[in-house]
Order: sequence, then structure tokens, then C-alpha cells
Amino acid sequence: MDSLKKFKELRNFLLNFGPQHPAAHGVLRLILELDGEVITRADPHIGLLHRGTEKLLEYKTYLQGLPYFDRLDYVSMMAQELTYSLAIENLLGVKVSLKANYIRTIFLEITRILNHLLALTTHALDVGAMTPFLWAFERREKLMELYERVSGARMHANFIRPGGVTYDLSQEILADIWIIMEDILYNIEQLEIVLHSNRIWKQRLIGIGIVTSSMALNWGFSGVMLRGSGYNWDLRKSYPFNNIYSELNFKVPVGILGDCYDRFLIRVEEIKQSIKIIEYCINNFPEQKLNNILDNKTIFPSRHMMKESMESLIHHFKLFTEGFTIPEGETYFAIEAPKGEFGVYLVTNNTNKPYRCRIRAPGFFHLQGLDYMSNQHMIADLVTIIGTQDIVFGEIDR
Amino acid sequence: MKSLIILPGLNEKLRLFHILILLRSFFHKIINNIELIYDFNLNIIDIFINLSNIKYFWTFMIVIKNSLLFNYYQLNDITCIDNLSLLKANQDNNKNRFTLIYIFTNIKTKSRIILRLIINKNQRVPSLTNLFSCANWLEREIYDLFGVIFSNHPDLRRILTDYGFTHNPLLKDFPLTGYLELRYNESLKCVEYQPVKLMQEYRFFNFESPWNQYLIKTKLNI
Repeated sequence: MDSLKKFKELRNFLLNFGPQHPAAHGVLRLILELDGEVITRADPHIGLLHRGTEKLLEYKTYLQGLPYFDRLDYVSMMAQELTYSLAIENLLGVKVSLKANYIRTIFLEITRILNHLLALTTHALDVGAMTPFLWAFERREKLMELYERVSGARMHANFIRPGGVTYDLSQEILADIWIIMEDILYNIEQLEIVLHSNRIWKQRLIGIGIVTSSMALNWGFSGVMLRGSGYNWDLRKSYPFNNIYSELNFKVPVGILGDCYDRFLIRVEEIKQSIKIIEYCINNFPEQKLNNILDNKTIFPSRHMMKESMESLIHHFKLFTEGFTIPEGETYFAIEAPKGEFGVYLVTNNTNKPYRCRIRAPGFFHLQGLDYMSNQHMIADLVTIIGTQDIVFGEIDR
Repeated sequence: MKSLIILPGLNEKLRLFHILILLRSFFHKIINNIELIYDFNLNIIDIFINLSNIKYFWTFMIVIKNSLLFNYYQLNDITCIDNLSLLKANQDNNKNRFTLIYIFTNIKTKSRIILRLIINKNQRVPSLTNLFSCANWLEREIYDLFGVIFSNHPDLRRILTDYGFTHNPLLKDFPLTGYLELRYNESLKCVEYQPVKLMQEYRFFNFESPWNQYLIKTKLNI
């Protein structure tokens, strides 16, 4: 009997975290193997929000497929529309007008602020600071009002489309963007006062979830997660999709240690840089009328034109029933979405629907690294790590 | 080699060209063609490599990652394409069924490699998990959605679909509506699976117009 007891197998405690847990930022099911309170293995189970976007896209025309991209990462909507549109433009070989490019850049940066405000402050909420969350969501609502004014929808805008953007921006909207940006800048300073030197915030973040530079590459991290580990790699700088970014002199913040606190500082700095970019775009906003591209076969005519010219009416009808056809080709297009490198691998075959559309979501790679990042950490730190990875399940599960 | 543009004065990039020529001679048995696209404005190189067979695939990957000449440390993406609709009618459906696409980035030289590999159905592909940790979930996803089996994978489970799901949903012969649907049974107080029943036929509009310019072009070619 004694000998049996001696060789009794020791098994670590298994904890089921999620799928419905407020700190999991969505439907994440984690199987945690614990040694006391220390995590020895984390096995994320994903797919609880799988909607089969890639399959659905194969059955929709290019324009019908566009709104699905809003719904992938539902806190940075326009960045994904932009990627899809750019991939299509790349295959069609069309160039977008300067003004449309300016509008795209403004809204890409607004989207980045929208995302980072949520990422930073829900992270703070998970760790225990509630006030920044309330501040940021007030500003987020204002930014989403901009979305609404420009496209009619608060979140799922369907605004940036192949060939340009849906509507022109008026001067009043630009003036309001300016006012909101100043408000956000003030707000960010407040957030810095509350969090930067906060003792609890620092204790919870410094030295937690360290990603070494070689491991960051090995796990395929991108965006803030890669920059936090010391790589100066921003697709806006190295693969700019228009020449506004290459002309513009914005700074790319880079971390040193690669811990959660570095990534927090980077996100704060990125908001400031985004505000800078938006202000540059407003100052240099082209004055001519918006002509997306001079090709009626890709972008739909304005309502005014439809009432005046027969041909526009026909184009409108054809675009929204048949859509446009893309010749055979393959392309990989990636842009710096707020969460990282968001890519679309598009395969076309002479029809009005994509043959295959692969979506490369940055969150998928980050969540995969959770096991590596949370190893030998406490359960409480796991919440910090999930927060710093800025996970949204819409894009991970697709 | 299909196209090779050599620009003077670009030592770093020129080195890369020479390396690629070396690579091609070294792996001439498996490389079908190498194509280079050099963006002059952005100083970016995209390298497209088509592999003809899987024989030295693993060696090739080690060279791409660990050889000092290349050092493509970051695996950006692995994708699969189901070629079913592109195969000829009388051809065996399993032969050349999938195209695997690997995308690598080198942050230092700002260049990407896009690698294409055509495989048969049920052909095993060596897993890259030992070289690139992020290949783990990417390969699991391809296994889940396409049914491609990766050898030496540490943990080849389904990832995106439901627990107990049996089909490969991204195959071209899998219907959009699927086979099973979930329903909450009020009398049994549990969730149950049942075959998909559609109240109305799925409305699939085929708007392809016969006078489309691109289509005419391809028809003439045939």
C-alpha cells in the first residue's frame, strides 16, 4: 500500500478560463495548467466566433464582400476595408486620386486612435483603473460620430471602397475632426497623469509578459507587439500604400524591454503620432472636387449624376448587381492596422467574385504566443497579458 | 528565370540578386521559376518562387531561415488554395489539388518571399513548427479548413470549427450552407444537431455577363 502511495501520479490543476469571461475580451476559452498559482501551460481554444468569412467571400461579389471586413475586427473597422480595397486596386491596376488618399489616411488614423483608446483603457480596466475607460469611451463615441457623419453608420462604415471612398468630406467635418483631436490630445495627457507614474499600474505591468526580440519574430508578431520588442518595423514606413506616409515625418515609437509597460507607452505615443498625421492631412487637404478614379466601371456614380445621366444610372445598376470583374491574378497586400500587420491574400479568376480570399489577422498570431508569454506567470498576470495583446475575437476567428 | 531587372548602384539589393541566382543553381531540381519585383520608390523587393516538388522542401526552408545570406526570420502567413475549379474536367481530382503559399519577411533588407508549392490531396507536407513557432496554428488552420496533413506537427487538432466537426469547409465541394445545423430543443432542454433544412433555396445569382471583356479574352485563348 505504501509503495503505491509513493508512485502516485502528480497532476497539475487544470483551470477552464472562459469562454464567457469579461477579462477574456470576447469568447476565448483557455485551458490553463497551473502549478499552485503559476501558469505552466496555456492552451487557447478559439473558433467560438467563427463565421466563415473566407468561405462567404467566395460567394459574394467584390462590393458585397466589403462589409464583411468591417465585422472582422470590430474596433478598427476602416483599416480592414482599406486592405481589401487596396488588394482589389492592386489587381485591377487602378490608382486612387490624391483627395481620396487623403480621406483614407485621415480615417485610417482615426481608426487607429479609436482602437488604441479602447485597447489602452480596457487594459487599464482589467488591471483595476476604471476612470480612463470612462474618459476614452466618451471620445470614442465622438470619433464614431465622425464615422456616422461620413458614412451613415456608427461602426460598420463600408466607407472606403475599391477605387476610392464613398462620399466627399465637407469643410465642417474637417473642422470638427480638428476640435476632437485637440480634445483627445488633452485627454491623453490626463491619462498619462493617471497611469504613467501610478504605482499599482507599474507594478502590474513592468516586467510582465516579456517578449524577446528573436521570439517576437519567431511567433510572427507584428504591430505594437513587434515594436515593443525593439524592432523599428512599421508598414506605414516600410510598405507605405500611398505617398502621404512616405512624405510625412512621423515617428515610430519602439520599446526596449518588450514588456507590457513598453507596449502601453508605445500605444500612447502612437495616438499622439496619429493626431499629428491627421493634422498634417487637414492642413494639406486638397481642395478640388472628389474624383475617386476616372473609371465608372469600378466606383459608383453620385446620386446627382444618376438623376442627370442615363449612363450613370446604367453603371450604378450594373455595379450593384453584377459588380466588376477582375482578371486572373494573385496578390498579397498588407497594411499596418492598429493591431499589427493585417493582410489579404486575394486570388481572382476572371469573374466578379474572389476565387479565394485569405485574411491574415494579427490577433491570431498574438494569441498563439499567449502560451509563450504567460509561461511562469500568475493568473492575475494573464489578464494583463491578454489586455496588452489587444485581442478582438472577430478577426481571430474570422 | 522569367524577369530579372538589375539596377546599378544598389549594392545591398544586387547582393540579393546574386544570392538568388546561387539559390536557383543550388536548388535547380525543385525551383520552377523565380520572379523578382523591385519597387524603385520604396526600395522593396518581392521574390516569387514556385517550387515544383516537395522533395527538398525542408532543406530549402532551413536555408531560407538560417543561411546568413537570407535570414528570413519572420513567417508572415501560410495559405492554401483549393484548385478544384481550375482542374480539367477529365483530370484526377486529387492530383495538384492544393496550392500552399508561404510568405516570409526579412525586416533588415525589407524584402518578402512568396513561395508557392503545389501538392496533391492526401500528400503530407513537412511541418515548419520547429523552425517558425507561429506555423503551429497556421498549419492547424489549414488542416482544419482544407484537410492538408502536416507531418511532424506537434499538435495537429482542429482549430476554428466546432468540437466534433468532420468536414473541411473551405474545400470547393463543400456547400456554403454546410450539412448540419444547431437548434435548441425546448422539450429536451438541450442543443441538438440536425441536417440543414432551408425554407427557401439558397439564392445564388450568377451575374457573369457573356460580353465581359476579360472573359472574351480567355475564351479566344482557348
